Formats: sequence, C-alpha cells, structure tokens
Amino acid sequence: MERETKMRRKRLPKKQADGLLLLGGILLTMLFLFPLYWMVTTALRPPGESFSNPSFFPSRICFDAFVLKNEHGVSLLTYLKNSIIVSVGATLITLCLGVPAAYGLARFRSKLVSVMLFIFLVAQMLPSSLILTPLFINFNKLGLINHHLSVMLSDATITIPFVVIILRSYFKDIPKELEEAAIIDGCGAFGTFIRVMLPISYPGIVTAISMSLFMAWGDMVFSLTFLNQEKLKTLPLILYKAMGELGVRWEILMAYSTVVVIPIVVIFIIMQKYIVSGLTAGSVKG
Amino acid sequence: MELKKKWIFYAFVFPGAVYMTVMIILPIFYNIFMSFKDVNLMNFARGGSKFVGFAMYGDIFSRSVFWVALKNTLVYTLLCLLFQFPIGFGLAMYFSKSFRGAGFLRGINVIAWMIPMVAVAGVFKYMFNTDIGIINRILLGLHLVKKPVEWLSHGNSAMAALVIANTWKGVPFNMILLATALTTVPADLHESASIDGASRLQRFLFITVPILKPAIISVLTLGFIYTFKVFDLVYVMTGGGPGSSTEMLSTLAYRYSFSEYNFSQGAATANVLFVLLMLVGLVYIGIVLREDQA
Repeated sequence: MERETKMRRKRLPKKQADGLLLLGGILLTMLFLFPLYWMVTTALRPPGESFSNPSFFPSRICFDAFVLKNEHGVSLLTYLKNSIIVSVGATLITLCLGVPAAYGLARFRSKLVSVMLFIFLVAQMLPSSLILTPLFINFNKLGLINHHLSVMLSDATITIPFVVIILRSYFKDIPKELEEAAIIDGCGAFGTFIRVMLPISYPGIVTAISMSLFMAWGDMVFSLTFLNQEKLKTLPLILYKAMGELGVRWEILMAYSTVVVIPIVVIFIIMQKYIVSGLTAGSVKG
Repeated sequence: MELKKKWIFYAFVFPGAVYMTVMIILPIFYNIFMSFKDVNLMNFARGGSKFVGFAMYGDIFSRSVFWVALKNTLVYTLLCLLFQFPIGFGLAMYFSKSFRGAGFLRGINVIAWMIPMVAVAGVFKYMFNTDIGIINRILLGLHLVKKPVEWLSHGNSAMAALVIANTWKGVPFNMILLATALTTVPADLHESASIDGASRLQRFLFITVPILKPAIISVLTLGFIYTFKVFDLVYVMTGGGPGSSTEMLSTLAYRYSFSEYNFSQGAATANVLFVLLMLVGLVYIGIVLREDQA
C-alpha cells in the first residue's frame, strides 16, 4: 500500500523505480564495503604492486603474501588453530552457561531475576581494561597465563552477557503454552527446555553461536595480556604484532587481516537470515 | 505449574550468574580495593603494598595526560555518534523502502559490524597511510590536496582517522536496529498524514521519529557505551599517539597497568572510566528493566 502511494507520487512506473532503488542500493553497498575489497585485493596483488600506483583490480592474482611461516618460525596454520581452539572453547562455555540463563531470565519473574539481569547488563558495558588486572593476577596464581583456557574464560565474560540478552527476548516471544503442554505430557523442566524450547528457538541459538564465535575470534586484548608464547598466540594478536614488526609489508598485513576476516564473512553470509533477525529481535526490545 | 517452582529458576540461571560474579563482579571490587593501595612492579609479587586512601586518584588527576585522555575519549565518542547515527539512520530509511534485494543488501552491510576491531584498525591504518594509502591517492587524484596528508602523524587528523574507522564499523549497528524499528511504523499513518498535506519532513519528524524514540534512545546509549570504552582500535591504529593526542582513558589505564606496571594507577583510571560509562549505562539499563516490567 505504502509502496503504491509513493510510486504514484513519484510518477515512476513501479518497475523503473524498483530498478533505480536497487541500483542505488548496490552502489551504496559497494562503496560501504570497499575497505574489505581493498584489503583482499591488496593481499592478492603481486609483491610491490601496492607501492606503485595500484589499479582497481590486481594485475594478477598472487598468493605470495600468505606466508606460511613468519620470522618467529611459527606457521600461520598454528595461529589459525589457536584462534579456532579459543573461539570454539569460549563459545562452548557461553552456550552451557548463557543459554539456560537466558531461558531462566525469560520465564521467571522476581526481585532476584531483576538483580541477575542487572548483572548481565552491567557486564555487557564493562570496559575490558577494568577486569584485566584482577584476571591477570588470578590467572597467574592458577598457572593459567600462557594457557588458552585463560583467554576462553575471559572471552566468555563478553559473549555470555551478549547471548543472554539476545536470547532472553527471543525466548520471551515463544508462547508459554508449548512448554505447559510438554510438561503435562510428562517432560520435566529440563526435558522441556532441551526437547521443546531449544529446537523451536534454533534461529536464536544460531545467532548466539555465530556471535560468540565472532566475538571470541576477534579478541585481541585478552590474548595480548595473557599469552606471550609465540606458539600460543591467536590471529588477531599476530596481526597486531605484525603491524609493528613488518611495518610496510602491507600485502602481508592485509593477508593476515584477510585470514582474520574471511571466516566471519563466510559464516555471516551463510547464516545472514538468522543472524540479522536474531540480532534485531534481541536488541531493540532490550 | 511446575514452571513456577523457584529452584528450577535457580538451576537455570545460577551457573551463569555465578560465573559472571566470579569473573566480573569480584574483579570490579578487587579493582576498587587495588586503587586504594600502591601496587606496582616492586611489590606485586612479593607483597607489602600499603593502603594509600585516595592518594592514587589524586595522583592520576594531577597528571595532565588524564585530562587529555578524558577530553579525547569524549570528543571521539561524540564525533563517532554524530556521524554513525545519521548515516545509519539514512541507510535504514533507504533499505526500508520495498524494492527487490533491499533486505539482502541491508543484511550484507551488517558484515562491517562483525569485523574484528583489530582488522578494522589494520585496514584503515593501511588506507590512511601517507605514501601508499588509497585515501591520499584519491585526494591527490582529485586535486583536493597538494601533497599527501600525514594522517596518523598529527593529532587532529589521527583523531579523524580513528573516528572514520569506528564510524564504518558502527554504522551497520545503527542501521539494522533502526531499520527493524522502522518496520513498526504503520504505513497508513503516513498515508493519511500525506493526504492531510503533511510534507515528507513533517511526516518524518512528527510520525517516524516519535514512534522510533525507544529505538533511537537505545541505539544512542548503546552506541555511546561501545564507543566510549574503545580500546583495540586506538591501541592498534595510533597507540594513543602521536604524543598523547589520541590517548583514551582505556589505553591510558592499560599503559599504566601493563607497560609501566603501576597496577594501582591503572585500576584507578579504569574505575573512573567505569563510573563515567555507568552514568550513561544506567539510562540504558533503566530502559531495559522498565520494558521488562511492562
């Protein structure tokens, strides 16, 4: 209806207006995502081409910049493996603790619920520099410095609140009647949660998994503070270190950036429908 | 109903709440405790740090770098919001028009929000490079500047580069939340207003904005919080420099604790950052909790 009136006012046939809007949208998107294009193409240019006057397209595709061994003698694959371990570990912790908490906070109402919700909301806005020193001191005592577990546990302090807040409003939108029916059919509260709630809310769960993978994957500050052995470092940390050490080898730096970014882009495009709807369902309602 | 039993609630929420208490709430108190002592590299391992009351706060406040960092953090945050909110709003309006591919294109732009900050910093540092950066190449090519701009070597332009990089990451966040809220604006309201002779601007100001108010407030408060606690971007892109012209409260706190090993100084600085964040954060928390009661 709205579309029809708008088009009538503009006196453009719907098809043409549609095409113009689509064209404009594509141009806006290309302009906006240009930094990513420039990153990937710089990484794929033959050595030296970034320094001379680079054209919009690389003169030829060249994978030289994706050096497998860096000057510390550690393979890029090792950093990749570390990043996968840390982000998968943090995501598992997040799912085990965050998903049930989101459900509990969505379904029950009391003073205590508000207090706990308050804790998760405060945690969401916490600057990481606030907890770094206390965590460093305690991890040091526990012998967890230079151990991936310290980074996983710290990443989870960011991902759990995020997941709880998003999933809580997701669960709230699911009618209670479904659970009540399941309980009458003899499912316990936990059985209902696992057999009824989780399957229904899989778009929300997919969002939660993707977002906590992305957040943990991108962490630099916890790795920077808790990991100083070369063979334990993660990709974002190595990207930061390389910027200091390699200086002007931009094609290698952009290759590192590409390796950091590509998995996120791929997962995002596959899961786009779920992630976008899950994110908005969660955040607008608070 | 079994759902109403209290212990089940505890069983669901407790593990997560205990985790957050141990990893977040206790460290907050530990930090407060530490800011009243003089923990540094000398007495960190051996112990023997003593209570100094508010002396550490007096110490950090007496240094001009603290006030510079505070000003930088505020300027950076306000500039980022000033750009990312209107741009995000504009894109939200554009992609809310019903044309083929609108939903897909809107979704694809959200990718920028998902890119890790360290990669954003790396890519923009490259694009702002004086000699080979694409931005200078474009500016020179269009004859907008006579010689390459040394973006990251001067205070104001380094700040501008940070704001642009963060705005790029922040725009989709504003766009997607506002676009979702726009779907709640009833179309017939616009239609009847336009029959009554309301202009496009009037309809925007008096119909769209009031209906979007809750979303606008939460986008602005959340945006403020995420921007105000910036760390990775500044640490990687400028390191707080040149000089301390882009030093932020978070990078200053980190430097005190992990470069100079003055842990109490770092804790005191981080606490100030936290208190300032909470001033705005409580507005946001208030909205969420109030909506929860409704």
